[in-house]
Amino acid sequence: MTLLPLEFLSVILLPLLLGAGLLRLLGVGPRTDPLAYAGWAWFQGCLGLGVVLSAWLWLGLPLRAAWIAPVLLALAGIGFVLGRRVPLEKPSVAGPWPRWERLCFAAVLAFLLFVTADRILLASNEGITDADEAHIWAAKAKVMFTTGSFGAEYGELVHALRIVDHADYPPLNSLLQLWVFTHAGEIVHVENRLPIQIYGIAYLLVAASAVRRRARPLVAALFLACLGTIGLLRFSVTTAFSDLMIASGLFVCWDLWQRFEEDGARLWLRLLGLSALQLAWSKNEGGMLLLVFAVALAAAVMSRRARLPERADLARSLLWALPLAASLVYLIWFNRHFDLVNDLIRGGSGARTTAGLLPSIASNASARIWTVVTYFAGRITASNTHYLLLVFFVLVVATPGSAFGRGRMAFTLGLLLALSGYVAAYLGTHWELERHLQSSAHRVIFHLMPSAGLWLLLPVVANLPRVSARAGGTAASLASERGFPFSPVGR
Amino acid sequence: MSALADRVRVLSAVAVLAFVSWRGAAGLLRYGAELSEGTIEEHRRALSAGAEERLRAVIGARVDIWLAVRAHVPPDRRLLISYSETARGRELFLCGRQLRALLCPSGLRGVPYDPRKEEVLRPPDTRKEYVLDLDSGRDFSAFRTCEELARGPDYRLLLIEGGTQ
Repeated sequence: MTLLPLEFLSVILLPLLLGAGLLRLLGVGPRTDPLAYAGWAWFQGCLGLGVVLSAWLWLGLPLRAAWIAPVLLALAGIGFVLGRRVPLEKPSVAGPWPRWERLCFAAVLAFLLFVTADRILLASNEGITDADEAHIWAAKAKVMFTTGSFGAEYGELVHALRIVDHADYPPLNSLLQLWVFTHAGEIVHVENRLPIQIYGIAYLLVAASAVRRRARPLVAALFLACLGTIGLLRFSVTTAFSDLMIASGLFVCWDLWQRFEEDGARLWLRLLGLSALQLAWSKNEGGMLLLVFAVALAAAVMSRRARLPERADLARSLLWALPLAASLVYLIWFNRHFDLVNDLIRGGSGARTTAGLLPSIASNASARIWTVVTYFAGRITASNTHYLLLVFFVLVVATPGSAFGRGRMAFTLGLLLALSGYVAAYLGTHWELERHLQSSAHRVIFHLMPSAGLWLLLPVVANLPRVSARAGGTAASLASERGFPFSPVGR
Repeated sequence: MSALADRVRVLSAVAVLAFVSWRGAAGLLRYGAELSEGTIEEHRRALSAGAEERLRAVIGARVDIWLAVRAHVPPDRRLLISYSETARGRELFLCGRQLRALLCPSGLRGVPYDPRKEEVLRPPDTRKEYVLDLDSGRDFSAFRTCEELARGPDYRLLLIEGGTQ
């Protein structure tokens, strides 16, 4: 290994600490949600680190961990100090469940964490030498490290032929790899995967929290076993692709939205506002998923099937969307500044035409729809997906009243629109269709799998009160199932 | 709300629970089986091996090409890869991709050797050019200055100066 043990610790602990500071600023402490806390801290910390490193590159400061670490520590400290004024959110009350059930849940979580850590370790036997992890994400990190700034040289290198594929893709993955390079003091080919792989651990923790919060321990263990063993998760924790960042980001967003639907605590909206940045900064698909999220929420709100903050709190809640808006503006500006355009929008390397995406969808839809839909159907019915999306479709068709009822409409619509968005992208692709499908369709479908698994849990706990987490059942969910109005609780 | 709709919802919830139990158990069993796949030797190597050994595990002897290029080509210089368009062309193209990843951002530019194509007969457009010849069969000796920097199985690393034949 190129990194020393202390440097390894720094690579992991500093983003975690920064994330903890940001969470404290939001009113989240370890006791707010002991299971999800470290996962949220990792997600928030990596985003904060990405922003800091971006600013660092714009300023052209020396790319050395010894310089960056104090800044991160200072920012984390500021978060903790300012956060002292924000009251900590109280933990949700757990029911008095039998000890053996709680042990069962803990055993499943521990087993999944152990296997994931083992896979991360074994994956380090192989360097990053090919595929997207090398030619998109690591390549861009190497260009950042070599040029040392977002100056003219960076622009020249990302435009040079065959240095960085898809240079327009969002930078978080590459920035996290750059973080490792700053510790090594040179470009490395193995350890730079680590921050991306940790997303697998963080995902397991937030998934464990999401299911445990809603279901009794035994049922939560079963759902966690399902969510934690989705086929592509194995691939994702052994590589440095960005798909796990998108899948976990989307999962967190829907989990937080559903938390707000269930108890009305504004904390979840604050956390949602910042967590949504993960989608924007990770991959272009995240932009589409954000759009879908917004459309689904708007549709649910307009049809009065979604909870809204009280009128007085609405403006304050919307303020937490400002970082997301600023991020989107920055990322669009960044690509314009370096004249980078996505190949789906305007052709590009390997493209056959220079038509835009929408005209291409319109002109190719009828000829391609059958190929795309049958390919998607094949992937969705593959056993390594645990058939989660398939069961989601069956349930939407079998129980449309619940699926599109109060408290669940946005989530249902969001998943359906996201899948439609991916189908549309393939209809309009400028690449050879079969090749494009084979190289990426399984990964974009994976983006939706964890969220589909969470969606499936909701009708289970709503219709089978004995398996829900709290003695009183998930009252909001039950109310939504039966069509009762919510009683908004603003905290 | 009809009683039938209520019943459908409850039954579907039970079915989902049973389904998830099956898939969850299957997933855990699969993970358990896979856990025994990693040998002690692999774990030892994961904890102690150097970068070269880890890369050799993926790309084999091609690591030697990477080491040779690193030793002779300054990081800010471009490198042109020449490879054949014969039956081995695909394999050599993949080799070029792997080296491109490792040497990034040195900017490897791959050019398949095809004597019928005019482009490969043209001299490099820079005054000084590094060429990694992956068993292309191309004869570089006609260039004014052609210095061999390294050689190994299936590759030659050349420095060509002058840019004219």
